[in-house]
Amino acid sequence: MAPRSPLQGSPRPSERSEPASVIVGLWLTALALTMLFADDVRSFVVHDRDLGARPVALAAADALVETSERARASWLSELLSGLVERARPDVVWLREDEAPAPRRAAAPPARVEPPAADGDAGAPSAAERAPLLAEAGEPKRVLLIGASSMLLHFGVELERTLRTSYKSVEVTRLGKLATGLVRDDFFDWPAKTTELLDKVEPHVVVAQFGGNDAQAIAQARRAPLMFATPEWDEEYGRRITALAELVRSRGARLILLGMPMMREPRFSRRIEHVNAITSERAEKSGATFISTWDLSADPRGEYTNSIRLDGASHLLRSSDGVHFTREGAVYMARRVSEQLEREVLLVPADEDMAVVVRRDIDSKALGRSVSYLAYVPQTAAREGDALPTLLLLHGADGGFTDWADHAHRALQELSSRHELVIVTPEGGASGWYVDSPLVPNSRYESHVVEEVVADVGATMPVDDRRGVAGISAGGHGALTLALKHPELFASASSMSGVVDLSAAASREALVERLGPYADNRERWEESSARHLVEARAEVARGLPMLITVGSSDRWAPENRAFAELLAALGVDHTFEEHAGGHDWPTWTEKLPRHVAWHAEQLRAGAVTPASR
Amino acid sequence: MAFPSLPFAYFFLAVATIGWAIRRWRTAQKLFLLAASYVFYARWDPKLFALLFGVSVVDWGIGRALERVDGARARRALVVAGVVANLSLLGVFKLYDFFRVSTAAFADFLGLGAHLPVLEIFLPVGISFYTFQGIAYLVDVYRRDAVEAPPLLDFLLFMAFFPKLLAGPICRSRELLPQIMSRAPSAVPDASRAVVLIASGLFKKMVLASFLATSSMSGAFQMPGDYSSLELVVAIYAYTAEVYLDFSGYTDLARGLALLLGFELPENFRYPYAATNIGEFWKRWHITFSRWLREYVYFPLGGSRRSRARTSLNLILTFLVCGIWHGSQWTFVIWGLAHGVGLAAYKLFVDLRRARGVEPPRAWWWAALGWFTTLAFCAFARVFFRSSDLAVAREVFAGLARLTVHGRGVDAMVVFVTALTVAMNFVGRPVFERCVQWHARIPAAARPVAWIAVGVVMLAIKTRDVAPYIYFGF
Repeated sequence: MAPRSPLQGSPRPSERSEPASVIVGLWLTALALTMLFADDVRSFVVHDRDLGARPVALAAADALVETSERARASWLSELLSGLVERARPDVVWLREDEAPAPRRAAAPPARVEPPAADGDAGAPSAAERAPLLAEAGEPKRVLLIGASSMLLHFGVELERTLRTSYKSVEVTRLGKLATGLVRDDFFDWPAKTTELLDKVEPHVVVAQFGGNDAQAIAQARRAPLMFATPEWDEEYGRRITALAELVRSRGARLILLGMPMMREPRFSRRIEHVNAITSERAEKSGATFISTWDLSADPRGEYTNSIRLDGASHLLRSSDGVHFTREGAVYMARRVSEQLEREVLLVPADEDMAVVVRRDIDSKALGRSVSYLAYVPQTAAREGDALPTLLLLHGADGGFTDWADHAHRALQELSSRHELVIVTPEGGASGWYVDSPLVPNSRYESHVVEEVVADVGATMPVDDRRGVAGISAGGHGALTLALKHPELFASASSMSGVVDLSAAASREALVERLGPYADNRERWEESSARHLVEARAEVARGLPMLITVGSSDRWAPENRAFAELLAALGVDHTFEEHAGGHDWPTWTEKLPRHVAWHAEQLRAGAVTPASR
Repeated sequence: MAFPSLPFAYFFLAVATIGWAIRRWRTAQKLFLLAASYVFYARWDPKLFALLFGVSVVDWGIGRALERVDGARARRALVVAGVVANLSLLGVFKLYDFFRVSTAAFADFLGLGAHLPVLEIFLPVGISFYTFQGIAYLVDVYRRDAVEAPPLLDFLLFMAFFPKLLAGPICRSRELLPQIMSRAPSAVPDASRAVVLIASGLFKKMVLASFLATSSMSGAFQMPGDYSSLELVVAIYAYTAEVYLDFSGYTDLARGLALLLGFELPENFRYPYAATNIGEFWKRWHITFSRWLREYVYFPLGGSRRSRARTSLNLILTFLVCGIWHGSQWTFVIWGLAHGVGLAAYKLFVDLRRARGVEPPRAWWWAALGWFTTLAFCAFARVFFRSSDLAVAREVFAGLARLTVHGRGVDAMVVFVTALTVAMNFVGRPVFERCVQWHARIPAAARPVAWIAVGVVMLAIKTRDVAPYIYFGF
């Protein structure tokens, strides 16, 4: 047995203490400190993932706090903490003298308000219309708040993207580790937000909470609200609403960012629940909710760890499966800022990128409020020149943000390059751009040709030149709308369009809207491009058309037949079949071709067919 | 369970109580401590315990074989196999990311980029420390310099002893195994030292290091562009202080807790920021680790026995290993190389001076200059250590070069705490010894009162949340 060897640095122990006395002393210390800091202990127990789920532990913690209160044990620690708080000097040296921030004028509109004229009285002329972008204005102030993600890479990159990719944006950011809306005992976000709102006077507040909120909400003198119970949902929702009202009361907009998917499935489900409550309450209280869930998932909707950024593969998430790596954060920041552009007017720093404006329409044809996006080249937005419009329609099961979701940057670039205002209206998930006599509030044809066209004319720097394009059901919609309203459209194009509605006669949505095909042939054919072209051959001959379809597209045969029909009718058209199928990669690839074609047509024509 | 947390405090108390109660049955006590260590480790992740157990058993087995086998060739083969096994395990976790990035770049070049799986492997906590301890043991056995024939139970406890499991100190067999193999102490050895060590550890970590970690200046390493040059300098020194407080605080806690259980762990820090040259610094900073590097990398490479050029190369290579041990990013490699080059340059300087027969000036200002330069060198090399990647480090240095003064403002408390930390390196030892003596004079019955008083003060002034240990990520 080797003897005990001397260790460097510490002299021979001279003291030998009875273990019993040491151990007992330590227990006394631990128990005394637990009693003196009972509130902190209960807070810890309530919010611990394992202990917080055990009623025994919670009951013990409550009993502890009660005993401590009765023994008035906490006064000492409170006294000391209070002393320390007050005594701690808040001295800061060499801070830059801040120039007094310009007082904000009456809240600048984040979106464009239309002039008082309403659609029936005729669109105001270009001279009457206010330019979308003021020449010089005060910078847009954005306040970013959140927890650890906002403190670490994601927040850093979001701030950097907002500052460098857009003109005159001022960003203030505050992220605090391990905070949220649940643990107000740990950090009071409402109080801090009030302070920041008064100091920064932002136009927009972008907040991301929830990562640390999947835990019980403690209640003074009552049992805590367990996570995901209806009471918890109610209370958390109330806190979201309170935050929204606080931000609104200071004249700013609140945008809530959802939490992304997590690697650990149980945690991920809890986060999903928090997101659900947040988004529901956001809508109700006038705030906007932007989801980051799908951005963090792979095409199958599952947790992914890698993304391709700038042509290389990178890790998306950090080793904890929660936060983002630097490259992951760059990717997320770009995608989130693209979404922010739709909510808040952000002017790209690159002059050759169009600005995106979102307009909301209180639609009578649809019985609800819907929106559309408009891509406007920056010079036109500032100077109000009159540009042609291209309406770009989405397909079935889609919405007005489909194109932005897949080709936002491309649209910005194409709009600017070809000097077109590109508009993506709402066509409904199954609207098929028809006015349905059967389904109430499904008059998408009227919505697009009357309401959207009128609104665009009233608020965007456009004139009467108009083209319409679309994909799939939208391709079909583009052709039919142009054929039915030749006075509005000078060019029409279809990407993978359905073109023959009778071939889609089995589609439930269409059957609902138009009635069964066999019994309602006339109604169907009034809305089917293939039949319209025959019925209105004269109109068709005066309408330039571009039809493209992929060889592996399900609708390729119908498109080929359509092209042959056009040829037989002597209708001038361009038909292009290419490699590809019925998917977004094909459509985003074909987009430049269609936009360029429309630009050419609208410039060459200079007038709508009606005036010919 | 992190050390300065409530569950750990009660866990430790329970272990200590039972451990001392059964001290007369030494084998049972050791088994109990081993089980407690595994439970502690498994709380971080159940799969990790299997890894630790596996590594321990393999190392023990190879150690036994090395003792029994005589042929030089066979012994060499065994030790190489053992070292390679430990290193590969470590390498898989550490370097996968490093090579993934380069492999991915190469694959992209070949057009295969989209097809490579981007696996992500996270680093099990503590693995860097216990694999290195295992390697030290195997090489020591090979050199016939280790404790002979430890029983399996003792060796398992030697590897897994929970106070030192997560972040060292890296113990040599001669330091800890004899204590384990001998009879249990009948009394708590040096309780005053243990208590003061624990208090010191908690103070450094809970009060000081957490404050620095969550202060406004800590944002300097994320958005360096937002800070003036002066603020960046303050942030750099503050981080240097923070690392010392964090790591030496952890070591103090580990040593204090081990003492309370009846074991002495070696020192890991000896007031490094009082060093007047870089060689001295590395004898005072992370002592068990730099000792490991010296014994198992530097000396096998040839140490300083060969030419001056070879010595310099050996130093640089050794610190390259140091850098890579900390992490598989370029920032750590550069940090390691910086220290290697600095050390090599210093050694060369000293050698040349000695060869010319020049004596260093004995004036105070020479020592002060040495101290200032050493501390500045360590602080600024740490920029690479702290930055998440080279781009951030570049931004920090660009920010320094701007030579601006005014900005967000320098938090006076941060400056104060940083200065306090440096001062602690000078007066630390006498203050520590004074505290131990003062504590020893308190009668046993009154000690809990003192402990409670100190505990109340520290808990009241600590920051709201305690940041995780920096070195747990290595």
